[in-house]
Amino acid sequence: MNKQHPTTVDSRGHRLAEHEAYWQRFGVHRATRQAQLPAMATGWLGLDRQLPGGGYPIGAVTELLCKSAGLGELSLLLHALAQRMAEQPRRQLAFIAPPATLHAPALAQAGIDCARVPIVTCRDESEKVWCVEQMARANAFAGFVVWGDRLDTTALRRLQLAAEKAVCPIFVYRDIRAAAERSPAALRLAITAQNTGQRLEILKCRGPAGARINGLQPGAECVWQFDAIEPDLDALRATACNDIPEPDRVSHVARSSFPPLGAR
Amino acid sequence: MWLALRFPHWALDSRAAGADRQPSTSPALVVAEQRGKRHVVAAGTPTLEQGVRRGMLLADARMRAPDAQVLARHIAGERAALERLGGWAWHYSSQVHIARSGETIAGETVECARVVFEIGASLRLFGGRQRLLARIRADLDRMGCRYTLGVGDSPHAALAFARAPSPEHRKQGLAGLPLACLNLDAQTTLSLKASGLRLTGELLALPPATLARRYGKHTLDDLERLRGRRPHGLDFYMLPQRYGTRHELTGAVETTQGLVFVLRRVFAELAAFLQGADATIQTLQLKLFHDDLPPTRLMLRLAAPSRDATHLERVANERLARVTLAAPVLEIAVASDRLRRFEHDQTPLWRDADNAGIEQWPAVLDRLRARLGHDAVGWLHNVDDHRPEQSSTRCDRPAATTNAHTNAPRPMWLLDVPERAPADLTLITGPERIETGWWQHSIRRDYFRARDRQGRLLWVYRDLAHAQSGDTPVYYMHGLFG
Repeated sequence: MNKQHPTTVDSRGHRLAEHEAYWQRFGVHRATRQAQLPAMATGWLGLDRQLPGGGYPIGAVTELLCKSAGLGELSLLLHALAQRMAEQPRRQLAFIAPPATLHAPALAQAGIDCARVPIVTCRDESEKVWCVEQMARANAFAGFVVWGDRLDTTALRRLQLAAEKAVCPIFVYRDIRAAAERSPAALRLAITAQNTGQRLEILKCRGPAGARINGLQPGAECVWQFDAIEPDLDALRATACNDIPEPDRVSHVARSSFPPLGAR
Repeated sequence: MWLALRFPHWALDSRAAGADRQPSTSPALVVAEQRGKRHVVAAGTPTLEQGVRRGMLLADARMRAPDAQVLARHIAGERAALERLGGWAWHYSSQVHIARSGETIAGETVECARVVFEIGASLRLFGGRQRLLARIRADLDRMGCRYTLGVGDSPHAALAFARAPSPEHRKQGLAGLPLACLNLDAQTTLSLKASGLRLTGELLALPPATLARRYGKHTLDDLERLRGRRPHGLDFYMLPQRYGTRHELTGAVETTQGLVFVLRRVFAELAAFLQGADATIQTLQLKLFHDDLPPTRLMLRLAAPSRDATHLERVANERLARVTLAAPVLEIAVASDRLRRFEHDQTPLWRDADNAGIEQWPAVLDRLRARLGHDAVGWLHNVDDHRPEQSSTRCDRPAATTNAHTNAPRPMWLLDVPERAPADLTLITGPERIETGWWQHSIRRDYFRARDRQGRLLWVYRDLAHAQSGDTPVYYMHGLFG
């Protein structure tokens, strides 16, 4: 028979803190306090503020769903990846199964050293996932960029595991029609075109989703430039990451135009 | 100090690589034809237990061991296996002598396959004599060879100790060895026996002049060589430039799965050889021989020189997975390119997390290429050419130097063949004139950045070489700004 010790307030608070630390190891947090997510800066302050952790999640899959090629979807990413490659000079960046021929001068203009970017062509989706898994084991990559329209949930989950193992971000480009499917990705961005430039929408993130912002615009002297207009901070303050001390703050985000799903 | 290894059943033990289990434990016999009759040259342990001995006639052996499998002697295979063993011995010494039984060296016939190498210089490196001998014994047991070992001050003394019938004889030193261990020629041995001499010590005690007069100068020379006072006259084994072997498989292998097991042993031997030779290889050619069809060739090209057996196995398995065997495989031949010196990488004093996985990248690249094909992994090269089609190429190795050649905006995706641009374009930035290539295929184009109805940013051009100035402009799409 267990003897119940009389507990004082101090020891109970101590036990609670112990319990919390124990559960945090499994990834369980209080709803009012989010975990510190390791993130990679996107290179644009406006987007950084929208994303939890302040950037693209490291160790997880980011899905970029594009309406079509030619919307500046790769330039948006390379802006961030060039910075990351410069910070980690010994690591490489892998491009898996790009749909068309990449042009080296454009990569050089984006600040990427072509000698550190192996490009792998694969025949089907299972080979793409296998490639990423093998390369993740080498622990020599700063990031992966995969093009895969027909990747299913299992494949994306395997990519997620590979990202966790390699501690680097994996970016997956898919068609916009995949927005209606479920996905285990940590961040889902939809890239569409508006009359002046890109339009980014956060479909899913580890935090409140649904923010829409203007993305890249065609620039005069350079190809793309970020939107000069800063997003309205007051209206979008609730979508900031990390600590949300008051749970009753209302978020003024535009409603998503995509059909709601049961559980993403 | 010299170490001598004698392999009495080498004709059978040398087939270890092609078999799926140790041939020394199988009931098998190897016979060779001599003067019209077939004699047993080597036998497996179960057959020896049944009473078969070397030199016996095949008929006698069959009477004692009726179930034994009889194999013909394959001298070239023995020699090749002995050379591989020489490569292994190179790990312990740089003065290695190998000889196959039946060869004639310096006037004497070798009666048993042997490897003799000098270990006195390596004792300190390997931590003493006991440790070195234990290591050598462990290696030989792993290879599955039956051997006798002897250590002496000269190569011939070491061989004499290796021929000693029991360990007690070895303990008494050279003087205590019976005369049969010295391997003198038959006539001398007979006359020595008739004189009543039994042990080597008695022979060594005789005055040399009398010995030479009685039994011949060659006997005195042999004794001087035994004591190390005369040069041994053995030639040393030199490492080959390339590694090449051929293994006969005991049973025909029909599936690639079965080949995997055989290749494991083959690569283990290759790794032992490379370890001994302190070398690496970068290309390996596997030839699979079938009965009627021409041999199947498989090339394994590695991104970086390697000598790791597991890595070679993995690459070979990935490669074999893409191959279907047309017929059962009877033999495997392995040939490598030139042996390169192994670059020993220094372990850094402080562990750098960034360096942790960098050295594995060539291994991963090998596996990717083995499964997807060599051209599946490539790097882009930035070429200094104004023409957009020529300014970017894909190569199978990264560019040595990288520098941007142009500041003008370039599209991320370039179409291989320019298409007709869709109608309803909005031109955003002005013309960039590219006019070059007069020596080959001249182009004269005005490039614009344009936006189409779907919102894509295109790189379109107007071909001035084929257009008249008064026509309506016709635009071709050359790329997309992704």
